[in-house]
Amino acid sequence: MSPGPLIGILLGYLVFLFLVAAVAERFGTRFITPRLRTVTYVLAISVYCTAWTFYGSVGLAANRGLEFLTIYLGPALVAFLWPTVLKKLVRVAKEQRITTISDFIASRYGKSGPLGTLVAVLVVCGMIPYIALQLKAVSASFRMMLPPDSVLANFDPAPVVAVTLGLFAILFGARNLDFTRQQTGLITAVAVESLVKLVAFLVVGAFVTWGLFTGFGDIFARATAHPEWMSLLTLGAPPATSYTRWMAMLVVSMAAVMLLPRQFHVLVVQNPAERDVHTAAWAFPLYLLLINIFVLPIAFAGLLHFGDAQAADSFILGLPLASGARVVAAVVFLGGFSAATAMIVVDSLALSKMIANDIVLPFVLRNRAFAEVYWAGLAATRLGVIVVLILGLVWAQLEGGQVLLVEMGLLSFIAVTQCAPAVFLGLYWRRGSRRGAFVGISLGFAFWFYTLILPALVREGILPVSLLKEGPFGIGWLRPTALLGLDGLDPLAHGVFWSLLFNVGGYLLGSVLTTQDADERSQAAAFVGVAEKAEVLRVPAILSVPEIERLIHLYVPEDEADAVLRGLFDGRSAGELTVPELLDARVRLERVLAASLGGAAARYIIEDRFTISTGEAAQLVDSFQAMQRSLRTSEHLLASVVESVEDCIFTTDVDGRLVTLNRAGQRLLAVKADALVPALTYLDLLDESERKRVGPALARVTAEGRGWRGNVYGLTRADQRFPAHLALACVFDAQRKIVGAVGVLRDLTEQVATQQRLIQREKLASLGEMAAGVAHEIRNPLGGIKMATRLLASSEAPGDRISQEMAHSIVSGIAEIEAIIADLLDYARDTRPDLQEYPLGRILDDVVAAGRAYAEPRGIDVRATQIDTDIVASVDGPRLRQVFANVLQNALEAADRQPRARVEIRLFRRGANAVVEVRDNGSGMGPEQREKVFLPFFTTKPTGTGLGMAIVKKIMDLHNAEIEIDSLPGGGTAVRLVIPRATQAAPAPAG
Amino acid sequence: MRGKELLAVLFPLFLALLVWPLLTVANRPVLVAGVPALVLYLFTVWVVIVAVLAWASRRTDGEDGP
Repeated sequence: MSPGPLIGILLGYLVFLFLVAAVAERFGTRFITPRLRTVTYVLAISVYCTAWTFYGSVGLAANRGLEFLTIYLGPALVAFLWPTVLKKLVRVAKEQRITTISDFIASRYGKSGPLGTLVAVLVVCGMIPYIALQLKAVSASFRMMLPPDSVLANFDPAPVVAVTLGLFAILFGARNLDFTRQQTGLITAVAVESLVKLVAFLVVGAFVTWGLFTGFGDIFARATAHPEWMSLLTLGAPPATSYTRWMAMLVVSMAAVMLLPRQFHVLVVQNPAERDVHTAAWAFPLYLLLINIFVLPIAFAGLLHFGDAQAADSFILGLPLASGARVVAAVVFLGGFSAATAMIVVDSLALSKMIANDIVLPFVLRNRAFAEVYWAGLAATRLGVIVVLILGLVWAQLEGGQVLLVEMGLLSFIAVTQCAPAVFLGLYWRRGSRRGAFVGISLGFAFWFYTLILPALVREGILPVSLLKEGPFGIGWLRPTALLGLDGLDPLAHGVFWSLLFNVGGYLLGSVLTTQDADERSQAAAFVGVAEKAEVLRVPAILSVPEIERLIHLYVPEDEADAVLRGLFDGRSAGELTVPELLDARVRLERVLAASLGGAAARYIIEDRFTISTGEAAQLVDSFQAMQRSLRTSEHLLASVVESVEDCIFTTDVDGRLVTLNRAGQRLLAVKADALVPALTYLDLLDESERKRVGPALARVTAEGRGWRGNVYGLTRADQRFPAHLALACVFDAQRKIVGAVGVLRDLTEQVATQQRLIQREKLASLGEMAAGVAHEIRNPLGGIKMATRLLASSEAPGDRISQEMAHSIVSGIAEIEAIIADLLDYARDTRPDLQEYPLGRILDDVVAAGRAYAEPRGIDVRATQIDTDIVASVDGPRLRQVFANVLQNALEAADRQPRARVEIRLFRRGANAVVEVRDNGSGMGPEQREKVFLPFFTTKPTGTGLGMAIVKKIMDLHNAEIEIDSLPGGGTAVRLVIPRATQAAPAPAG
Repeated sequence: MRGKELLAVLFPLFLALLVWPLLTVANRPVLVAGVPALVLYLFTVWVVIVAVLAWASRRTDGEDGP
């Protein structure tokens, strides 16, 4: 082919790629239906088939038989696990916003920066030769297309292609830092390329099979005529593949199809929808099947045509060229070119992300250049693309290292397989730890290097052959291809075996022997339990809204910051957000950052927000202390209110058991705070009969979360009943769940007593009224009777002596009746007391003097020793004198019949009251008598009206004074008159 | 039985079809219908794999939501 059209095809195809990507990017969202998107996804993951497949498969088939099939059978087999394993991988990656395989491993093991760096360095080193291989294929195929004497014979298109593809990758992939975003243009272009290479392969396959030969049977029949090629159609016998090598390559390709950087990017990161995994699971194996159908026919056609496998890698292009089919050759060239370019674009992009996020950014962050992180990340990603391509280009042009380069195709598969234990075990085994992953991956790569790379370097001529033959320093059991004397294995199977053995062993042992920190546990739970939505083990600190805004403006381009913020806060303003929402926003912010900068860097940046200056720290501590103080104050206030209240306040748990009891309650119920035994319930505060009466009702309302109030009888610990009012209310937690009850028990003893006194007073008053009425009615006729009887009794009246004496006794009887009537009227007289300030001592003095006059003849000892003469009270003096006199008279009469009769009178202060105490050593009273002592006409004495104490009671009531009576039968009686003192200590009026 | 689980169980079974020792059954230097026996065997298994996966994807798809 002449150079002009060839360069035209090459450049035209590149322009076509840019166009496809640009159109898809611009209009993709409009016309890409879900079905088309799924097809695009399936075709895009076929970036798995590179130039190495396109040219190399035929070469491998011509040299080693069926071995090439393992590279595609492995992925077809592992597709059985895609609905489970790949789907989970995709879900985790999307949830954690993971962009690369190194990012995945770093995130899974506690967002560990160093682990990510390790994986990134090793994977990048393993992949660069692979890219070099693609560029080499481009150069080689270009050269083959030209006639040998062409002016462009020495022209290498690889640099031009590399630069163009680098531009393409930056334009459609690394334009934005967030790789989790759909790169529609790039993915569509890659999908179109997959279509091109498939069509090209099918075209050339059909051309060779049916154009140059008459069909499969023809080719195979002719090939089997050469017995030396028969071994290529079987397994086990050299030079064909051994079973162990077959097995090893199956295993390696299963891992590689998901973990190769380009595969992970397209299959996992750029997965448009989880459900597309199901379609990909059968469509991708179908694609692989189709692209492999003609590999063997072409290989054998090449062998038949060219005679040996010397140039087998170029059979696919050589056959149409040799037979003059230029169009077919051009199609093949285009197919191989598309396979190479797709791989170069996606791989350089994925590697650049690893370089930026896991190699460059950790250094930037360590130098705390936070403000530059976004631009540093973007620059590192874009430069990364260029650097990867330049390295590949340089390697492709090297004089030496070409053997290694060819072998690297397979060795890079094995390299990336070293990530498989950490990824897949980490996806299902929660205990898998960072140290385990570190040890496993390090050992795996170390053995990969020792058992696979060193032998390749020997074949390259860089290292002496003696290394393989005798081992390093002549130590036989250290031979790289027969470690520990394990020879007889295929070198590749040997390397896969040792590296994976130490990798998995190191991972498992390292995980079992170490413990995970909180970060690791939380991430492990998030990855392993993602399907079950595991609980959040690590509660991250909350960022304030301004802090989140600041971070976003720092790390997200200006034109997108607002959209991101709206997404984070669901369009609400800062004030409307609750703490859980802020927490959620912070987690999502970390993922937004992770999509651009990687999980480790995002965690680092967010955590760094908490490294505050000493000034800020002092401020924080101050406000925290102030908060604590005010909290404590209000707590104290509440506690003192509860403690000072006279009512009994208690709290109970759900089962009604007492939890706390305030001081009043402890007094009333005579329990100590520390003696609140759990056995006590609020029902124990109630009287036995009350428990039965209100117990069920209380249990019901507290179970239903309602309140209860009513009058009950309480029970002190001394088993004394007392009237009380109980109010019980349920206490709820934030979820409206009942956590207990709070109750207030008010002691009503005083209130009930007052009530009873009032009733008594009413009773007495009506009784007195009636008595007074009766007395009044009797007094009038009695006046007449008295007058008449006096006349009868007078000596002037006629009659005998007896009649006169009887009249006399009638008159004295009438006098007695009159005294009773006077008393009664006096008792019933409902006048207001004429209150004046009197020194009580003076009133008492007169009464005591009169009492002594009565007592002395009878031999009663009257003592008025303790008289506080300063006490002044606002009283009705004459009436109070009568009270004192009555009480003293009673005492004297009670003491009269006793030996050593004695009456003691005291006047003293008690609080705001003055107390007059009259104590005798008489016979005393029982409780029954004491209750009736104030009733009118109640008396124990043979003489007397029984109104004395009733009058005392009435006058005392008029003064709002109280009467206390202590009395025991045979123990004497003490009567205390408790009179309110004058509020102002007025001086005693003179006289 | 859930499709996903069925596929996960089929994985080791189909793996067994593609490795030693079952592979030795087809590993003969003869042509069957004009195609080498082992090649025919491998591609037949491959076609079955695609067929089973395609059939199962109708069941597994949407099994646990979007």
